[in-house]
Amino acid sequence: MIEFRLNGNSGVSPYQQIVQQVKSALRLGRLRVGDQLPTVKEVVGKVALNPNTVLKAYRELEHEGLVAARPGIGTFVVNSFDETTYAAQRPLRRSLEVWIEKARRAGLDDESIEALFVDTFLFTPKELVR
Amino acid sequence: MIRFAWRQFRFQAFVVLGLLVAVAVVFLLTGPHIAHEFAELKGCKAKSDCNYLDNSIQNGDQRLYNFGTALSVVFPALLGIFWGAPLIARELESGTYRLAWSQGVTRSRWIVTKLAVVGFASMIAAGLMSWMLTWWASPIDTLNANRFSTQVYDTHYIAPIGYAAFAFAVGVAAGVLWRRTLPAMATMLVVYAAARVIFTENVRSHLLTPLKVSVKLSKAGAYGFEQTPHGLQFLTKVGSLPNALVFNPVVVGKHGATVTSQWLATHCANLIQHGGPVSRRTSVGFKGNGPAPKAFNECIAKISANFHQVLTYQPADRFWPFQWLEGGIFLAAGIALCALSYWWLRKRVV
Amino acid sequence: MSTALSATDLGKQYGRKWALSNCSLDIPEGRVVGLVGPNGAGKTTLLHLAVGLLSPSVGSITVLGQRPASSAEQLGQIGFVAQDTPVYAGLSIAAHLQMGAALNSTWDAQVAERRIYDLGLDPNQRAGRLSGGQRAQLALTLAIAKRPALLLLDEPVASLDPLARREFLATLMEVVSEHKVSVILSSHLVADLERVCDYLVVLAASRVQVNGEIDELLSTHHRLIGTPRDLENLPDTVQVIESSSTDRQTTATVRSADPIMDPAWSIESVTMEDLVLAYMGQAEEQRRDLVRSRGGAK
Repeated sequence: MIEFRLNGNSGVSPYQQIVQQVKSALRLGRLRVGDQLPTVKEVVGKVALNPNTVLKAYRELEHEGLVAARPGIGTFVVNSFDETTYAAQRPLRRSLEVWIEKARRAGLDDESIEALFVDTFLFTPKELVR
Repeated sequence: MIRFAWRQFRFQAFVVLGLLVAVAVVFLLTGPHIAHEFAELKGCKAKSDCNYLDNSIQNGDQRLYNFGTALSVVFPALLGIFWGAPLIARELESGTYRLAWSQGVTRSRWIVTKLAVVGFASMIAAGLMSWMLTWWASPIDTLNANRFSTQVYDTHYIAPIGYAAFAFAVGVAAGVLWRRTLPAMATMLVVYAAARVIFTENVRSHLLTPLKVSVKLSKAGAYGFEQTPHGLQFLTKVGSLPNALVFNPVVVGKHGATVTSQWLATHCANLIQHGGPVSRRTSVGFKGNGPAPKAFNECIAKISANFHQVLTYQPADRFWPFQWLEGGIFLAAGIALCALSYWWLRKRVV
Repeated sequence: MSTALSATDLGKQYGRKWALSNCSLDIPEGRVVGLVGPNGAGKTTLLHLAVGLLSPSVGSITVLGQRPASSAEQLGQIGFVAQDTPVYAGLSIAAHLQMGAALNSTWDAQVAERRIYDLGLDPNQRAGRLSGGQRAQLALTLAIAKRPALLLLDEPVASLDPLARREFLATLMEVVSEHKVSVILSSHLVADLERVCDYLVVLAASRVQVNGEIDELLSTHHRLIGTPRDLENLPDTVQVIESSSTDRQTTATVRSADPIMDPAWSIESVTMEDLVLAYMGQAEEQRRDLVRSRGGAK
C-alpha cells in the first residue's frame, strides 16, 4: 500500500503532492491497476491532513481517469501509465545507482549530486534521444 | 453525577472514616472501664478508695475525656477545612472545572449534587462522632451534672451536626470566593471560629428568655476579695444549679444596692486595716485563708445578711430545646451559605 | 440549522478591559476551523463563551443553534478540550471513562475503550502520571466518546513535542474523517493549522480580523510588488491589508475579489501564514496608533 510523505516546505500544496505521489507511484509500477489506494482515514491517520484535502486529490485522480471510487469499499486504480516503460526501468535504475556511487566516491555531497543531475537533465536536448 | 461526586470524594471520606474508626476503637476499649470506675466512685464509702479512684480518674479518664471532647470540638472545623474548602476551590484552582462543566450535566446539577453528597456526609460524620462521644462519656457527664458546659453541650448530641453543616458551608463559600484552596481553608477557620465563639458567648444564653432566681450567699459558695485600681472588690463563686446554664450572676441587696468598695470601706474597715492585700492582684483568699480570718469572716457575715445572689439561667429541662435550636440555627446558616455559593457560582461565572 | 457557531456583536469585558469585542461570526458546520491569533487575542475567551463557561457581556452567541450550556442535551452535543488539557490527576484513566459514561447520555464506551487501547495506555494508570501527549490524547478521547457534533479545542498541541503534536492532529483528523463532526481549534502557531483546517478565523487585538473558507481566502488575497506610486493608484475594490515600502519598492498584501489587472504590479500568491501575519500586523499597527493617539497629548 502506498504511503504518502508530505513536504511542508516544497511550496507545493498538500493536495497536489498527493496527486503527484500517486502518479509517480503509477509510473514506477509501485501502484498497479486493481490496487487499492489507502482510505482517507488511513491517510490522515498517518499524515495529519484535512480529510477533504485527500478527498479532493482522489477526486482529481478520478477525474483524470486513473482511479475510481467504489462506495463502501474504497478507491481503486483503474488505469495506469504505459507499463512498457516498467520493464526498462530496472536496468536504468541500476545504472543510476552505479553513477550515484561513483559521484559519492568522487567526493560529491547529496546536494551537488542532485544539482549535477538536474542541470544535466534540464540541458540535455531532447533531440539526443533517437 | 452522584456516583461521580462520590468517586471524587472517596479518598477524603475514607480518611475521616479511618479517624472515626480509630476513635471508635479507643472508645470501645476504654468505655466499659470508665463506666466501671465511675460506678465505683459513686458507690465508694472509704475515703482512701475514693481518693484512689479520684486520682485514677484525673490522670487517665479525665485526660482522655478532655482529649475526646477537644477532638469533637475541632471535628466540624476539620470537616470544613478538608471537605468543604476544597470542594469547589480545587476544581477552580486546578482548572478541572473546564472539564467538569463541559460534560453532559448542567452546572446547577453539578453544584447541587456535590454540595448534597459531601454536605450530608459531613452531617453524618459529625453525628457519628457525637454519638460515640456521648455514649462513651455518659458516666462522666452524669457525675459532673453540667450538661450545658461547652465540653458537653458543644460536643454531644445534636449541636455538632449543625456545626458540621455550617463549617462545611463556610468552607465551600470561602472556596467559591477565593477560588484557591489554601486561602479558603484559612478563611473557613477564621469565620467558623468567630461564629462559634460569638454565638456561644452572646447568643446562646438568650435563645429563650432566661429565668432568674435568688440564691442565698451561703449557698453560693466560696468568697473573697480582690484589690483592684477601683478599690476593694467582693468576689463570689457562681451558685450552681445542676445541668443548668447559669450566667450573669449579680450580688445585690435592698433597693438594688451592690457591694461597692465604699460599702466595704464603711462596713469592713478592720478587714482593710488588718493587713488587706498588698498587691493589687492577689485575692485575700477564699474561705478565710488569708490574713486576719476573724475580720474576714465578720465581713462575710455582714454581707450575707444584707445581700444575696441573683442568677440568670436557663433551666436543665431546656437542654434539648436548646440543642435543637442551636443545631437548627447553624444548619439553617449552612443551607443559606450553600445557596449563596450556588448562586454565586452560577451567576458570577469564572 | 447549519451553523456550527454563530456570534453577533459578541463581547466580553473584564473590569475595564475587553477580552473580546465586536465579534461576529457565522461558521458553517462540517468544517475544521482554525482560530488563529497571538496570545491574549481572545481565542480562549471565545471558546469559553462557546462552551458556556463564560457568559457574554454584550452580544450573543449560539452553538449548533442553541445557547451554550443551556441544557444537558446541548452540552452533550459539544466536546471541549481546554488549554493544557485538564484532567483529574488523582483519578485513573478508567475512572475518567467512567465519569464520561456517568455524566454524558451520548457516551460511546466502545469508542472510548478502543481509543485507549489503540493508544497503548494502561487504564489503571493515574492521569497525573501521564505525559503531556498522553494527557492530551486522554482529553481528546473524553471529548470524542461523547459523539459530539462539534469539537472545540483550545491550543491542544501548544505544549506538545513534535511527535505528540503530529499524533494528536492525526488522531483528530481520523475522527473527522470517520464521524460527521465540526471542529474549531485554536492555536497561536499557523504551522499547526495549515494542513488541517479548511476554514480560518484570525483573532487579533480582541477582534475578528478576517474569517472565511481557506481556499476562498487564499484565492482572493495576493501579494503585490510594485512602486510606491502604484499603491496610490489601486482601485477602491482592492483592500490593502498590509504594505511596506522603500523608496523604490512597495510590497503589499491585498484582498480583492476581482483579479488585479494593472500590469504595473507583480502578483504572487500568499500562503496561509502570510495571510495571518498580514492581518495580525494590521491589528498591531492599529493598536499602536490607538495607543499613540491616546498618549499623544503628553
